[in-house]
Amino acid sequence: MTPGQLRGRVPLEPLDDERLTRLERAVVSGAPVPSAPIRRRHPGAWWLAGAALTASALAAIWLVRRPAPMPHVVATGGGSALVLAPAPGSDEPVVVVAGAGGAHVDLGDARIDAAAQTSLTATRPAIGSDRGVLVELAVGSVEFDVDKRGTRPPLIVRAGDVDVVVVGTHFTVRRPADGGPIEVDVREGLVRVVRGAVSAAVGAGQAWSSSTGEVVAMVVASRDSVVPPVATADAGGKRGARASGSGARPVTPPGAVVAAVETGDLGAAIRRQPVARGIDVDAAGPNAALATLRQRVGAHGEAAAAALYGMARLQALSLGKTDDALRSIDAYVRRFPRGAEIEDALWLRLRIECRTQTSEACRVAAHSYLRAAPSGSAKAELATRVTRRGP
Amino acid sequence: MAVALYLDDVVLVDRCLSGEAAATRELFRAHRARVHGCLYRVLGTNTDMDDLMQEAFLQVFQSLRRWRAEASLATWIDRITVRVAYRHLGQRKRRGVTVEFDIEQARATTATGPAQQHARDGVRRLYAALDTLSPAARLAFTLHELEGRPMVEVADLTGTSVTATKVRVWRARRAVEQAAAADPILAGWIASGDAMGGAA
Repeated sequence: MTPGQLRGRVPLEPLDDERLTRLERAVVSGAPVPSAPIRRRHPGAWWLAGAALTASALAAIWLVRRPAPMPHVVATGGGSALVLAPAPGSDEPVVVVAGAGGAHVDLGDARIDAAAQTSLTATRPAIGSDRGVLVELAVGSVEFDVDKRGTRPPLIVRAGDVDVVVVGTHFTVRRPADGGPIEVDVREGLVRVVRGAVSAAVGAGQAWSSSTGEVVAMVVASRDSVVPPVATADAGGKRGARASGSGARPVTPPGAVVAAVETGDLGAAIRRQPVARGIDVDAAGPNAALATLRQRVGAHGEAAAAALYGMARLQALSLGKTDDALRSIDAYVRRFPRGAEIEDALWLRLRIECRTQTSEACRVAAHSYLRAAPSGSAKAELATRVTRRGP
Repeated sequence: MAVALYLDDVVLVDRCLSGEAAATRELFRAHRARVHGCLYRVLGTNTDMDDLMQEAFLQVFQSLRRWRAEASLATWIDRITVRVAYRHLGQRKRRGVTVEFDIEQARATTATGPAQQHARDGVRRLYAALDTLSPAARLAFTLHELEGRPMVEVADLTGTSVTATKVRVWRARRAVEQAAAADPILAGWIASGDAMGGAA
């Protein structure tokens, strides 16, 4: 028996829809599967689990129905700040009207720095099945430092028709008095910006503006600052965001300072670097080879990884379908973040993205490549040069 | 930086942790096929599958808070699935269960020709041979040889070194070869290269 001889030889016997539905119901509700055909190995354990679940449900009902007081409030105002903090345990709102000196408010586990001329109100309405904290920003700029929510009550910052759902941890929301665009900058962690039916995940180093509705890399003042990959806003209710790549073209916000990559001959130098060979396929032409590789992508392990990289290389270099290639590379990065071809795939992405030398995506691709590549190589040196750009 | 790679996962996990039932359902649907595939190839049967999948997903949801986005959610779920499979194999070994014949599976594949019957017999005999192995060796063999995962990944999933994983796979391969030497049907199936019907 040779290694790999049995690969793919044991086909999967699928579970029927009824079993899957039962399973899903059981998993989602956290209850045991209520069916006869499924054998119970530990009926006693299930009885105990049932009792524990009932107790948990009763506890949850008590917690939801219990009056939820405003988190403990500690406020310090500079200059002419007005902070109306309710008595401990009260359900009254917290009102902050900051004067010229701004104000600082500790609202439970949320540290809030309100800039000058900022006005906000914090209440504890029911959010979903829980009682959360709702901070309504009437005007001004507020910087939040919030612990990751996890099981903590949800925290939402509302600025006009924009809701910023906090995942954590350090971000700023601005609502100008002149009705200008509402802006969200995230320094650490992640928030979800919801406006109508559109939502976008904004990660660390990224910014969102209501003028474009797009997520872009946060403009940084320091030359050496590192900006992580850019995510896109996703419309139509699909939540989440993707790492850089095809379909995730960063959009430069109007007036934002996104400097061109100081390329000179850098673009040519990047193109001169070899792109690692893909898997060899015995096929009549690139399209036939692509079809063969596509079939192999459904497998597991090294074979699928090699096929995916081979697809990306073919699409980019033989067929000129760079958008398709970027999609293949994204799929590779997601499926095989430690795959044998990860460095080559990220280099291919850099090569594609850096066709347009002013592209922000080029710089993001360079950062991604540097995370996977060994330092000191010629390619790493080129990628480093791409990341060094002016303010 | 890893968080940026797994941003979709981070958002989904956060929604699950905030108690959103739709997110729990989404996570289950996104990963049920890989969990089932992994368990099936390790065990060779759908018997006990509902219990095991439920156990795996309950563990996933109970420990979701501990996922730190250092690996993709899929890899993390794979680790939990492998632990569940390992524990099940150990319990089965202690109970003295050897070959389990899945009546449902047999019924589903009765309308087949001699080639499929031959392949089915081959697979059944392969798993009978695997029943003689230690749970660790069986896991390493099935994940590497049947699922096609690289040694490094198998070592990561099973929490052992690559060297130990290679030794386990080698031992398991030798045991299967010995079983095949005494069983012409298994030997024929291994040599034939037939898959049992549908896609792997």
